[in-house]
Amino acid sequence: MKPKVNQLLVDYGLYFVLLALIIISTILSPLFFSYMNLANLLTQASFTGLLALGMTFVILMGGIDLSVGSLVGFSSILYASILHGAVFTFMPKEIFIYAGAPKLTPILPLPLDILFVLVVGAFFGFISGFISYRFRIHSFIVTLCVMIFTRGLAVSYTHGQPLFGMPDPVSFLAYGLPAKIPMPTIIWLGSSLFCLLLLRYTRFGRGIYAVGGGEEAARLSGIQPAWYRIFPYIVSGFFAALVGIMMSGRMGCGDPKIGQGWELDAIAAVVIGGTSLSGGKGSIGGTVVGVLIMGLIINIMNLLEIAAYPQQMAKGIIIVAALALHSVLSRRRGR
Amino acid sequence: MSEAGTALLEARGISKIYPGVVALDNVDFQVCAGEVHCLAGENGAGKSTLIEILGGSYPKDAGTIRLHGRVVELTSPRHAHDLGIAVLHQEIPILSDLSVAENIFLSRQPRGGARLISYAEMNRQARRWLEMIQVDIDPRTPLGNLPLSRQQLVSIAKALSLEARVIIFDEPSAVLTTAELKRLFEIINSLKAEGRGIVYISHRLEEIFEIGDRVTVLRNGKLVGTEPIGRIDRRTLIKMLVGREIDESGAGGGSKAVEGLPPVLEVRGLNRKGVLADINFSLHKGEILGVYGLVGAGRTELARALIGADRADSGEVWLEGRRLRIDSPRAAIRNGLCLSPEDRKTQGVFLDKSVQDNICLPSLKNLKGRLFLSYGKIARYAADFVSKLRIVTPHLQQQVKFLSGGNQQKVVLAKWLGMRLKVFIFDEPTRGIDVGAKEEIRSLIKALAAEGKAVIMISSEIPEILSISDRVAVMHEGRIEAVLPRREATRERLMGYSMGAKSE
Repeated sequence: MKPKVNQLLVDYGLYFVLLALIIISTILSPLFFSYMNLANLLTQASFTGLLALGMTFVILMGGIDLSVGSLVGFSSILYASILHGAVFTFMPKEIFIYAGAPKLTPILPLPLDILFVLVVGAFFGFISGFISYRFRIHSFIVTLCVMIFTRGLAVSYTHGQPLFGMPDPVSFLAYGLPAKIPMPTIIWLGSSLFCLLLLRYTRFGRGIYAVGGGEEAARLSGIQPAWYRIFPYIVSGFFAALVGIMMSGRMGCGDPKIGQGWELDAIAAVVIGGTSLSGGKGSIGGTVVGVLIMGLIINIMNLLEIAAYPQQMAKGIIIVAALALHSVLSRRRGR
Repeated sequence: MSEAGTALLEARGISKIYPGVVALDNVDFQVCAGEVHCLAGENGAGKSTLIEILGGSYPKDAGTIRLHGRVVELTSPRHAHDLGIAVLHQEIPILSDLSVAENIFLSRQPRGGARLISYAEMNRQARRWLEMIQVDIDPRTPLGNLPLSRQQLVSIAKALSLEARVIIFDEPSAVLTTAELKRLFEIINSLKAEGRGIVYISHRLEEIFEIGDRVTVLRNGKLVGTEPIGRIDRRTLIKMLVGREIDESGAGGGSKAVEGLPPVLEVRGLNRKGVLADINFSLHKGEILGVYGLVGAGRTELARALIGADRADSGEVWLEGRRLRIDSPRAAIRNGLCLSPEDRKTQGVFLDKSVQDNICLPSLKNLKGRLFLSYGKIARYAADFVSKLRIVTPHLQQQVKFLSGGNQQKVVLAKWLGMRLKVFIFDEPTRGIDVGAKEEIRSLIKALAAEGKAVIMISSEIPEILSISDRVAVMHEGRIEAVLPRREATRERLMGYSMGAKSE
């Protein structure tokens, strides 16, 4: 009875937008479909994309995680410092005085140091989730505080200086091109697939939807909310740490100032991907498309040589317009 | 019949104490296999607390619960489910974005290979449980897209899928039409025939007498008694509930002839696409016009259109000979119309605000000093209504959410009383509140009319409509099928018109 076209637009609108953007980009710039450009676009999208995965968990559960950008910076510097043989001691200023890369004296063998940083990232996520759940403080505030704290920690750790020198395997995480596909993209899409399975095909994942859709309803359906309320932050912290490590590899240094404002890009991508900020509704597939849409918008503006600041203005307008359109279309669906 | 069954679930000496309140005091309650045991009591009597304890939601402070004769300590709703106790909550908590099947199988989804959820299998099983109660719902629909009555059927299917031996229905009838209620009773009777134990909670006495085998009455957290339905009558039950005699017929004053009175409100040809069609009626000074109809007949939509909450597509509304242009509730209030909405908790009051704030909000304009609000005036104004309407609250700063339904309804009324309005529209003002408070609300409404206000009273309960109205308008599918003077309005005629029997 209802207009079918409208229904299609709402259900698959995101994919149409993605398709339209690709077509527009192709027309606007002959460079768009070059291998270099696509690889570049995907690589850049991958970092936001990984953060957006964790953010999807948190937002689906009904929370928000502002701390991921700072966690990227902190993980980056933490990782670099392990490679330099120092952890949890604040670095003496002398280290940074001479130029060039200091000699690496890792305190952990390579896979273990990465694992260590990932665990620390997950732990910070756990702290956010636990405080928010246990003391009933809105996650906006808790993760805002964690964001400020973590950035402060990262910056004071090395007096704001980057720490140079990265071993090859880490550079591979950032620059590798197995089968000509950028390594970050492989990591991103692989993680997306894993998250999709977790959220859609496990009871635990459905429990996160349930708690986000209504905690009391979920509880009365036999779900104990505590773990579901905390776990998403752990995922989010984990991915932030992963991005931090990969960024270190990409820049060849640990940089405590990296990642500022990235949480907002991640949130925007999740929301564009159709996940409701009030929780309980959304999908990983949507988030992946949301990330691609954001990436495309920036990419095409780059190709058109639009300067960075006007780009920001355009980005703001495009995101709001997309969401307004989505809202109008879904309201028309009835009820 | 109950004597024949064996006790499935037996609670003894249950107590629950909240800071400052004894919610349950040494209550015994028992459900046998194959019986429908009704639980009755005014709001705040402890019914909800008792079923929350039996459903594993709250821990008890004292007493024992036995299931099949063995003592159990219920630790969570999940635990209760596992033991075969299912509660169908009054305000059915649902996850509206998840599918019907997922709501049924939440946290128990069938899994296939690699322990991943199999949606095909889940939908198949959901369909099977739904078919068992002869309900035709696509299990893939988001539950939020279904009307409340169907959501309730889904939760029954869920209880069945839990293999629940004890099923507790907490006021299921509040959202159901007559036909749906009949359907529910059929289902309950078949569940009973299978030897399950049913607990049925309702405010409506007719239902208790129709479906129940036994009834247990609670008052102020204490057990008043448990009686087989066959052995008590309506009057006794009311006495048990309220603790005093109440004249329930409400006939009292009898109806006025309204023809001679001057019309206050006239509605001509009101239309709103899909919900209201060609609505015509007039309302006189001092008259109570009852509006009856089944759920979905357009009663609430009519009320909302009249006060401008929804825009009508065409039609005219005249007040005292003046044509009104009402495009917002604000305009309606300015012109002297107000609505006490159906959904009291979300639309009628601000639950988190104090009694004082709720009562004074629309009248703040008149409660100023020279420049700023005068809290002295505000408090006096609120206190005045609290005593006039006998609103039971410990103090003016009490949050409205802690008041009983009846007192919340009085707060809604108080909000409008001080504003010199002319037309009062009440949408289900007595829904979900207890017998004693219902009567109070009705007499307050009658008093309004006696003062010369014009009242529109929407209700689903025919006895209530008949007891209070001077005339009755019956709605069906967005139309007013008939407007009957009180003496011509009978139960049968109202039901007939509401189901679409044409007026001759």
